[in-house]
Amino acid sequence: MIQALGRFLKGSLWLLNKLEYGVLAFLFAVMVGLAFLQIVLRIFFSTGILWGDPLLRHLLLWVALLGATMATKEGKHINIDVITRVLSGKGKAVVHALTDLFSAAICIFLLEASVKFLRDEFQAGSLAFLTVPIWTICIIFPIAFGLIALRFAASGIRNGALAFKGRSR
Amino acid sequence: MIFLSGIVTIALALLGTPLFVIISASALLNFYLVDIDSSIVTIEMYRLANTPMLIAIPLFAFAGYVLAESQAPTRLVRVSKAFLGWLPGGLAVVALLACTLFTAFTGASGITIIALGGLLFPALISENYPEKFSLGLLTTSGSLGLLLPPSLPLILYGVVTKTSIDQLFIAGIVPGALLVLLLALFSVYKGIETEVPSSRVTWREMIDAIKAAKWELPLPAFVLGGIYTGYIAISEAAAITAFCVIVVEVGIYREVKLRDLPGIMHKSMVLIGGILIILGASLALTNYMIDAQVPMKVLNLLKVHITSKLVFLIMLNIFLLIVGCMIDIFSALVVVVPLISPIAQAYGIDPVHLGIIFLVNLGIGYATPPVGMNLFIASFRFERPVMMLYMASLPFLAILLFALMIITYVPGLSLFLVKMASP
Repeated sequence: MIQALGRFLKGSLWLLNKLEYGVLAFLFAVMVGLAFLQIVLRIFFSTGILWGDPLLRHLLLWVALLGATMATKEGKHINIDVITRVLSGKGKAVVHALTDLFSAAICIFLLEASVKFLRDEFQAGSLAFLTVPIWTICIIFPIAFGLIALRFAASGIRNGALAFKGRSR
Repeated sequence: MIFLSGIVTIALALLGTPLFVIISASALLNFYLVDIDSSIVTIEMYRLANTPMLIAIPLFAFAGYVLAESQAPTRLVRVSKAFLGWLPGGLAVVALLACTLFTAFTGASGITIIALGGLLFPALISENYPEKFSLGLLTTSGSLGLLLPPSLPLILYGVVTKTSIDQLFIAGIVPGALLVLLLALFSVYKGIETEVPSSRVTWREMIDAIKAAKWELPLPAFVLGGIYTGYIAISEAAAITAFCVIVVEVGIYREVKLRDLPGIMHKSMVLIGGILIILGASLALTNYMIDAQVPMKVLNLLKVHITSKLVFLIMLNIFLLIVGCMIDIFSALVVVVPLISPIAQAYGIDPVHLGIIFLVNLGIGYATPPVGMNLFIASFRFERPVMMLYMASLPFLAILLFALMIITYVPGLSLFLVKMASP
């Protein structure tokens, strides 16, 4: 039972990573293609797709937030590493556990803030471009902050366990 | 309460908490204390999708990563060598120019050390340049291109302060050239002193080198020409660059495989996502600070102690050098600029000039011991102890600091071309 659950979790994590990777690459490719198309249209045909620029800017938002969730997975967020660079072993694990769990907590607050934002936008029903409401695009905020919070929490628990092991030895 | 939470936040930042978390935490807490709903933080972050120039940043960064994966650095070095190899210390000057151009186009000087360092370091050593000199040269010249278009940090500064990016691109030319010129003179002097061989220049090699790079060379000319004539916007220049780099490296040279592209997108967007989420968070925090008039309060405090513009500039230089070696240039711009720029304006400093001061300072900070980031990247890349890189970069830092003083205290150097361009 527990093993099955473990397999299921592992499988869904694998799927999630693949999905993130694929969606990011797809959106980025669309962004490059559309941005280039807009210039070709402007220079050679003095025209352009009216909703092209707002779409590009919202693609950027998705790419940025997906990039940030992946940066969390790989531990590549920009930080000040003056102190962690000189630490090693148990000390490093303790510090990482602390900062990871703090980050997870803050991201849960950001998740809550974005849910409230989404609710307000849903009620206001303002449009980003064409007939696309802002809230459908901004759904990436809670998704991203949820994923980031989960990843920080997982990493915090892992580092906590490492720190604890170090102590018992 | 505020004092205590401030200390806790700074402590957590120093312990390595991601900066976007630190900034978000401060924004959330401050809005909570003045009873504003936390959804304001998301509203501010959503402004990322309403800033037209911003799209230039991921597109240029991606193009830079593709170029770094291809053989473009080798061709770039070959062309520069064919034309400048005859100088005493020629290869060092070549290294300097190649690093400058590469940083201008990729924006992050760490990438330059990784992409060009592995190529140039063995070449310098095999031509009998002293090891210490070579290391220092490659570690510091990574930040030279930051001032020259289409540098990403310049674009980011323009976005954050709402300064004209076109003017910034013009203002960076002379100070950037000054930095390169001073280091080039030093390289020539070293070349004469150590009697390294300089290569012969032949028409044959010049033509061959240009032929080898014929698909890549028109791109910088076209992009820069387009930007300076105002024919294309910066975001358009970025789109053209990204598209053409894919066509050239994947389609024509075939040095980057089509199936490698998603991986490169992933790598570059991990970097850009990390930068843009900090920008989003700091949009929220800046909104609070402006509302609470924090810059004005800091200004009033400063005015008591600092009365002259000159003293302010000296303090600014010192402050930015410290910031530059502690945090990466993008986050420094996003976090520090909104605070400093209203204060600097009150002291009568032109926002365009301030941008140039910021970038020169932060660029030097990158290579400043004991914690400048490029020193660690170089130590990793060249497999040398960090201590050795500290010593190696010192003479170069001295020259760069000298140039920094000129650039800071002679505003005309940055501004005269801007004034000529806009009558």
